Parts: sequence; structure tokens; C-alpha cells
Amino acid sequence: MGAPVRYPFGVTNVDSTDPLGMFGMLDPTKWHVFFDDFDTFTAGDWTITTTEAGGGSASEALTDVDGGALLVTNDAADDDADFFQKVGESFLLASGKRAFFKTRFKVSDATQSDVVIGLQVTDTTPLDVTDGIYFLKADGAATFDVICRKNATTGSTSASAVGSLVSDTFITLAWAYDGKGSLKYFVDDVHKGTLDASSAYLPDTELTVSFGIQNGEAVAKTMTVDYIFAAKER
Amino acid sequence: MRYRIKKAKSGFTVTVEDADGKVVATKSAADMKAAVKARNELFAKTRDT
Repeated sequence: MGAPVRYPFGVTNVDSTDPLGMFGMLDPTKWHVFFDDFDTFTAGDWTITTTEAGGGSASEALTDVDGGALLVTNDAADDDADFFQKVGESFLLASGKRAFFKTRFKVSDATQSDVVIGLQVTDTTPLDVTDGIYFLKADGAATFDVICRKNATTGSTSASAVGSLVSDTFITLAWAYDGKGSLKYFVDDVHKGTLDASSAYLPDTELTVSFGIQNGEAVAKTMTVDYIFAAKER
Repeated sequence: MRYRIKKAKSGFTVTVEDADGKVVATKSAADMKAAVKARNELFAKTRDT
């Protein structure tokens, strides 16, 4: 491990005439950043859509994992689900403004589950929302798709089977919007492809951090989320 | 808010709970299809975003 590079007078990303021009750290207001490492969890921060047809209850709680993680456990009927959307849709994607999303998570069953994670409009049907940029895995297959959707009926583009989940194995998914009409998507930090994110497909309504899991059979499935990062240029 | 469908003795109960877990709205449904419809209706009325 090498030694840190030292800048005792500070580092900045703004001009000297900027209000924070002499601030010795980077100006954090240049980007809107959401980052949850799940060292803490408050259910009231989230709009939660829960289905408990199995006669039991879903649960969500912090779990003992290095780095912090949220463990979501469904009730045990087929199609029982637990979906989370941060209260307050605070990401409006726009041309000229770069945006990023990155997450690390795992699920107990890579095949018998529906899984969604990304930015979406708040909805009680997160597996089929009208607007968002998100990864979606359908029940019956371990492969997942990436979707860029503006008003479901008028503009939606996607790439199928861009990667595969493995049961009880963490995966890192990410996308990067360049502000110029392209959306690169990544699996375990490897660039897998690019979607058209021009005005025909770029969501035009505010979105929020969203994730969740639905059972693909009558067995309780779990999702463990290590972290979620989302950022957009101001 | 939490929008919950839960199995009842007969059919399903749909509830809306506030940030403290207090139930602020309830509907009953005979089957899951009706429960999903009821949940969507409650969401439209009470969404906090």
C-alpha cells in the first residue's frame, strides 16, 4: 500500500472567483449525490410495497455484513414481494447533466425470483413502471435486463440478458448517463453495452432510488443490499 | 408509507401505514386481483411523493 498524495493547501473543482474558491475541499454542491451503505435503516424513509399472501410477514432489517447491508425477506407465497422506493423523487435526468447509478447486492435464489433495482418513478408495480432506468430480472431465469424508459407506452429501450445473477452471490451493477444521449451499463465494473438514452427514451419525470424482490415460487426469498449510489450533475 | 396486502381469514386486507407504522387506511378484498386494484387506488389517494 502506497502513501497518500498530500495537498496541504487543499484541492478544488471551482474557479478562484467562486464563493467556494478558497474552500480547501471539493465543492460538494456541484453534484446531487445519494449514497446508502446501509449502516443504518429507517423504514419511514422509504415507500414500501409489500405483498404477504403466505400468512406470515415480510421483514427488512440491517444484517451483519462487513460494510453494512439491508436484508429483505419476503413472506412465503408465490409472488409475495417487498419493494422499496426512497420517499421523494429527487432525480430528474436531463440532457447536458451526467448521471450515475451503482449498487451491490445479492439474492437467495437467482432463478425463482423477480428482482428490480435502479431509479424509478414511485409506483406500486415496480416490476413494470412507466419511467425509470433500472435493472430487471424476471422469474424463471437468472439473466437480467437493463431498461431505459420514458412513459412506457411511448419510449422504452432495453438490452436483454446483459448478465446473470448467481444465488447468494454479490454482484455489482451500474449505469452511467453521459448527458449526451448514451447510457453505458456495467456488470461487476465491466462495460457490457450502451443504450440509446436520447430524448425519446430518457425519463422526463423525477425518479427515486428503487429496489426489491418478488418470490418466483412459494418459498420466501431474500435480497441483501450492500450499497446504493446515485448521482447527477447539477 | 407502506402499502401492504396481507392474507386475511377470508380474502386479503389492504392497508396503508404511515412512517410510524400506524394504519391510516384499510380496504378488504376477496382475491389478490381485487387487492392489487385496491392497493393501487389507495396509493393514488395517499402517495407521499
